Amino acid sequence: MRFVFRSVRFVAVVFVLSGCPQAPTTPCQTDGDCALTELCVAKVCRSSGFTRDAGKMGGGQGGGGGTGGGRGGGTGGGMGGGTGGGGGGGGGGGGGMPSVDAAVPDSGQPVDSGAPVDSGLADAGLTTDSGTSGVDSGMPVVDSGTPVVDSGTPVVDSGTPVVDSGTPVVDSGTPVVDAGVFPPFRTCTPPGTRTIVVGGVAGPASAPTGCQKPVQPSSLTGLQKISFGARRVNDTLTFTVPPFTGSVTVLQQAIDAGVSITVGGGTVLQNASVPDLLTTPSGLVLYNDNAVAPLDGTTAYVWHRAPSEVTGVMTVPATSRSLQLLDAGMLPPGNWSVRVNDYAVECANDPPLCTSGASNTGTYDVSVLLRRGPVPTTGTIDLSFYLVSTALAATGASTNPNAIRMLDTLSTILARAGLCIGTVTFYDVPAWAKARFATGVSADATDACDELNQMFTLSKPGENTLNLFLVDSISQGGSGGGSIVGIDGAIPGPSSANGTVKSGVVISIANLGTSAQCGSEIDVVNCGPDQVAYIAAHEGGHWLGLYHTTEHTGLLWDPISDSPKCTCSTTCGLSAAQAAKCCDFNTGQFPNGMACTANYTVLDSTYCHNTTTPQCSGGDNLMFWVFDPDSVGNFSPEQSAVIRANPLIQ
Amino acid sequence: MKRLLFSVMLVCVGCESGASRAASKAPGTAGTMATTKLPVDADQSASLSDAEVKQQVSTYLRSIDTAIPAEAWQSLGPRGAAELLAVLGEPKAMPTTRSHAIDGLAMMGWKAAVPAVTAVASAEAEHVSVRFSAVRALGVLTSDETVLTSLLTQAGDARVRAVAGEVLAKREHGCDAVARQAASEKDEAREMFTRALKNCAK
Repeated sequence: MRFVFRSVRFVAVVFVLSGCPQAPTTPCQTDGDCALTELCVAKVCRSSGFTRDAGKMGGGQGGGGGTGGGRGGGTGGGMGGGTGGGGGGGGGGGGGMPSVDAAVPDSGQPVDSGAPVDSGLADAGLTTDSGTSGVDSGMPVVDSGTPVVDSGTPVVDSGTPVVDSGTPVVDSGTPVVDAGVFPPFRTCTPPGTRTIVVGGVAGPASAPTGCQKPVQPSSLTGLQKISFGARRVNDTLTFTVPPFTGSVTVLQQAIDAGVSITVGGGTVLQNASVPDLLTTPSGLVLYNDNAVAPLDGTTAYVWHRAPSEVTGVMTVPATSRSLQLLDAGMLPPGNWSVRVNDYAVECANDPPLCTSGASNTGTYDVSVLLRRGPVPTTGTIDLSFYLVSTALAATGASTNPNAIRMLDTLSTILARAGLCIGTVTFYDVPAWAKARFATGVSADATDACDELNQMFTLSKPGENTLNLFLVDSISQGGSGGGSIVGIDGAIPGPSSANGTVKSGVVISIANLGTSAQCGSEIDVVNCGPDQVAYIAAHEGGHWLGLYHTTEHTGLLWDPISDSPKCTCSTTCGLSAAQAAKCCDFNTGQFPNGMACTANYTVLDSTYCHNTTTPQCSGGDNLMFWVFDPDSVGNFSPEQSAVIRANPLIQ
Repeated sequence: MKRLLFSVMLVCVGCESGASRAASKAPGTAGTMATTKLPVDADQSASLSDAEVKQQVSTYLRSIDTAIPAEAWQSLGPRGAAELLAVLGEPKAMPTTRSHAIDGLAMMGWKAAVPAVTAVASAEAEHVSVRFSAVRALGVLTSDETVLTSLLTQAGDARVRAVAGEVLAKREHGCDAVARQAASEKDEAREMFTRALKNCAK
């Protein structure tokens, strides 16, 4: 298989961005105090990834593109290029981005998205035509919004050699340079064989002073990552999605941004980090944060119902509608764009909207993560358990029968989505962290500086793992107090960016030792390790982009067409009295039109196991809002596809 | 953001934060602006059969990451409270199930549960997560600080002492005792009082 990227220009600048140490900091008051390739952020000059004068304005959508200089260049060196190679390095002509030859499969084999994909399909890498000496069309070289491709590490993971077989496609005599590549798929036969590792102690030895909001680079390499560096809100960034891309994830992390905004009526909201106006090469806008979303999530390209502060993540495809974007398992290649955005700048752009918090100076580190496609029907997930409890220590975990049972059950559940557990790493946390979080992190204190999110910063950077924090208790401070058994940091989670305030899910370990009733079959109600595994899988499902198939009201569902749904109605067996109290959260009303401010029916899963009435099913699905004796942990085919499209799965 | 504003401006039943719960509770973007004041259903009583009450209790106890609103617990009435007390007294039940039962009793304001909850909070052999819930529930169910103060100073598990500290820190005159206890703790145990001391500092 061979792909050719014809860049109009190649700037041989080698930048291994992910590993780049920060340059010495220069104090500043304004951008003018910094070099042209830097911005003044929090009174310190930070590399921006573009040359300010021309780039900031020029980058923009589409046309400007091109570009180069600065940190451009995709790559260089021996392996050269990278996707953006062209874009990054190039000169702005030709519409701004490098032209990309359509992928021509070796030997003409069609790619069937539905079937397991030969792991060798795209392993041969990409051939980048990158050395051209500026064949642009007279356009000025604009250092702008073109992404920088982190491609310094050409081959990842498997040791599979990058074989550029066949006849190189050469663009007018330009030398062919191997580019960064997508790593090979880690396909498997579920549930696979896992490896357990003792990871030592994660996190600083002493408690950090003050709130931590680390910006973490993605651990992905090669074609999987496009790094833009620090970008201001309102900037529109253009990036090239190469052929054979199965998913696109935008990761936007606050470097310097306001904490909250206040909207009319005095409601205070977190200043959510929300990538906006994600647009395909054809101009299709997949997400507009200022548009009214459809009531039916299955008609939305992006279903962004859980905005989060500081770390914003958006993955496509993660809905039925966006799965339809896939052509033979691949997203449209070419120039995509996204706008750096948060609530504060939305306030600034529309002043009547807010009474405080408006700002158009927020700065975010932006990356685009690409998952190679077509995504195979199997994949591997690596797990990291962080033991914030005295109930289990990392050194004993691999031989603890309850931990083993938990892992076995987790393997069985994840296998239903085609996943194998690869490496499981157990980490202890420092004594200060264990003490601080031991008595129950609060699930409903979700500001970046609150305990839950501060705990997630303990996850070890540089790894691409599902981070499961096991704690003794998860409290919630709501009216009268209470507790829950699991909670996610974000939907989806920031895959491959460990160490951020959203880099984890938390699960109660309290039931792990209750194993007296564990039998040969999985029993999530009576067997503690099975229940912990089920909760872990459920929260992991959130991390991977899944919402509850049916929410507790029975009138709000996920954006997946083929996931089984259950409805709060007499049809499913509810009494007339119960049905009269079904609350439609879309309208906030009971069936009689009165407001359902309280005392609404919470849908019981026992009404949701009807195999003959589709609208009364789904109680056995992993992402149903509650578990019961008949919970199996099933996935629908589209749920599985969403999960496997996430960059966490390799 | 306007998407979200449509949500928060709607009647948001039991709105809470937390990613999945925000997702589950945000009413979406129906386009129904909340500026429209909806009529409130005055009838807060539930007309459920005994079996339905039992089933509802069972469902609430098996929630994964969705907070059950206090009103939902309260609507179960005395029959629901009796079910919860039975669960609390069932030693084979999962620790988190028993914790949830205590949570439910607290949210119902079921003061008759104080003796049972006190017994759990004070029992050194109880699972620590159940004790946490019990101590927190006492903070809701009773204004008597005798048990809480005793737990603060005498519970064998430092984590339980710390949770008692958290509860007392919310009381008008609780912070002096909390500060004294924190000062008397050894390093790691003192760290557990961070949350309580933070609350006192507010």
